[in-house]
Amino acid sequence: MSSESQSVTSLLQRWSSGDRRALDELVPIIYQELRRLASRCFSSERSGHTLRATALVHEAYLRLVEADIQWQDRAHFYAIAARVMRRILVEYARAHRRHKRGSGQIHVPLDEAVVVGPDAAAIVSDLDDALQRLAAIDPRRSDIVQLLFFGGLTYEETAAALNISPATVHRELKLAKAWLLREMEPRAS
Amino acid sequence: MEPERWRRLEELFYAALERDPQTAAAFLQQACGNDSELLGEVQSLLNSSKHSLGFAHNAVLNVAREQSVVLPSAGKRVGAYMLQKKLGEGGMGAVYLAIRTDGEDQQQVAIKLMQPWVRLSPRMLQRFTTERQILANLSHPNIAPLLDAGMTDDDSPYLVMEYVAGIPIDDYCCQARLLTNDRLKLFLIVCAAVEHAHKNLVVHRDIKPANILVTAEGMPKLLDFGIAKLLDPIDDDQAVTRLSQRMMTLEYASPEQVYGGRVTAAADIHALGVLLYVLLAGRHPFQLKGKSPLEIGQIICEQRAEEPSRSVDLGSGRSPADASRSLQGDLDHIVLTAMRKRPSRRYSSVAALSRDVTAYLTGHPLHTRTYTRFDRVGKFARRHKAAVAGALLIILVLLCLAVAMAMHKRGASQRLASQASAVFRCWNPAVGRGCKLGAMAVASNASRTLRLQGKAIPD
Repeated sequence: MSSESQSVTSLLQRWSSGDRRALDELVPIIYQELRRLASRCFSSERSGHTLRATALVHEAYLRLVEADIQWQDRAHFYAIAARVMRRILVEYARAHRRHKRGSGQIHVPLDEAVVVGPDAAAIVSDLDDALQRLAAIDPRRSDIVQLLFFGGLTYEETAAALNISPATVHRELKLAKAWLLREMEPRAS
Repeated sequence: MEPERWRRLEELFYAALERDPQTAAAFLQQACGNDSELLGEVQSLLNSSKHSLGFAHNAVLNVAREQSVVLPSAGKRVGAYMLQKKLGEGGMGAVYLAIRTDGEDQQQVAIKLMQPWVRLSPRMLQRFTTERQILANLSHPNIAPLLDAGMTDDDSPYLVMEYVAGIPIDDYCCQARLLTNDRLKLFLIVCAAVEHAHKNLVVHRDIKPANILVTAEGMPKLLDFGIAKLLDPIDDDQAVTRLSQRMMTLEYASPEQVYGGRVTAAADIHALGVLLYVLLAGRHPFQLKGKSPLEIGQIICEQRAEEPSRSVDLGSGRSPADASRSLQGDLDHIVLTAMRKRPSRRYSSVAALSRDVTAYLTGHPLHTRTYTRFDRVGKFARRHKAAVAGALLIILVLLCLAVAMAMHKRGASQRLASQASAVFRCWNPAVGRGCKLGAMAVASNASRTLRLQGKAIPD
């Protein structure tokens, strides 16, 4: 067991037992690991992995935490990692918008079968705003979207992370998506 | 939105979803009554739910891909330089060995490039600009200088620095099996470079062996001002400071860097103390292997380091006799003073630290240490070995002379006494019984005796 994994595990335990400072220490560790993984994962040699982009948090988890930590701590890890990933991507999107404003669309490789809107960076930034408003009304629905979209988790994993059933995730997501879509309407239409 | 209303909305939304569109409309009309606002809200949400949010998820994935473009590889051209190989990579950027391609001289340089994602973060760009400014203002033979700077084709800034072909200072000392005094002389050169930075209001904040390379000529060079800070009261960006604190090496960090206190030149003095410890003892002052960053931080803030003289690692190219004997006392004091937990209790400047090291090397008493009179005398004697030895010799000779003279004198007076007793023996009533000697007779007797004895003593 590496020292890193010991430290992440003990930080997760401290955090779940109410030590708020533990979160301040966890975020940079997870942040760095995600960054490192991201730059490797998205390199051109491994472009096949790009659609699993945000599933990076899995890999970060495997690297940072030993396999058999308590289920609850594992859920906490995913929650933090998804949040960190969201922050990384939103920060980037915002900076990118400022940087590229007026200079056209962002580059999207043709080999990716992805439907991209007019400006991915702008959409991510809007999604983040909408999610923040949703969190104020219904934090759990906001968490579900965060784990699925930014954390790259499956429905089952999201359910496990939030200690609810996959059926509940499906159900709650319906309203969450409808609400977010409506909030982002000008762009979606 | 109040929780009560949100719950009601939620309830109606799912209830309507379960019904077919016709009955759903009628159901909602009835359920909302005259709350037309609620009705409108539910209807708009039902409407949205027919569309997919997939575009937003894809946008997230695209941004994820876009933000992690990798650093260029060897063979790429950056400005007038050709990248040859990656020397190292950190969180913010990577350093490459490169060669200038336009001039006649194929000068090797080190090029620092930013990680692609970094260039879009204004804060990180600011750090890069600061490093450039800092390096441009420093000119010292023991600081790797900035040679050039520019922008790559895709608007990413880069720095061109002197390429230092050397090895970390601790490895150098070990490989060259340097003796204590040579290690100290090397350390003094490093101190001079740090002092130069401080004079220019720059705190390095990441002094460690990996950032001090020693060339084949034995010349140490300080590098990587990547998280250096200008000692400018206006430049007090807490966020940048915190960020930098996360990027530094904990092993050489000062307590104030660990707990996020105010970082001044004293942090560099602490790092120099740890460096000197490592150079002298051949090992780090604390056992940090296998510890988590949290535990390391705690050790740095709370644990007192053992004296270097008591923890010498003999596997580090140190000769046992040279190491422990020479470290005890003054060098222990210098290292532990530089490493004190409270910044105000360390050396007040790098110059003060250098002064004490120099004092040790020249055998003078340290400026920051109190001595017994005996120690001072000892120091004086060691410092002026020849003079003291000479003086001692002269004293010894004089002493011998005095003794010889005293002995000689004693011999002469004994002789005189025996002569006198011989002269006056005849006046002894027991010897000259019956005869009445006058004073004249005694005198002539004496002169005869003396004459006889004088003949016996060769001149």
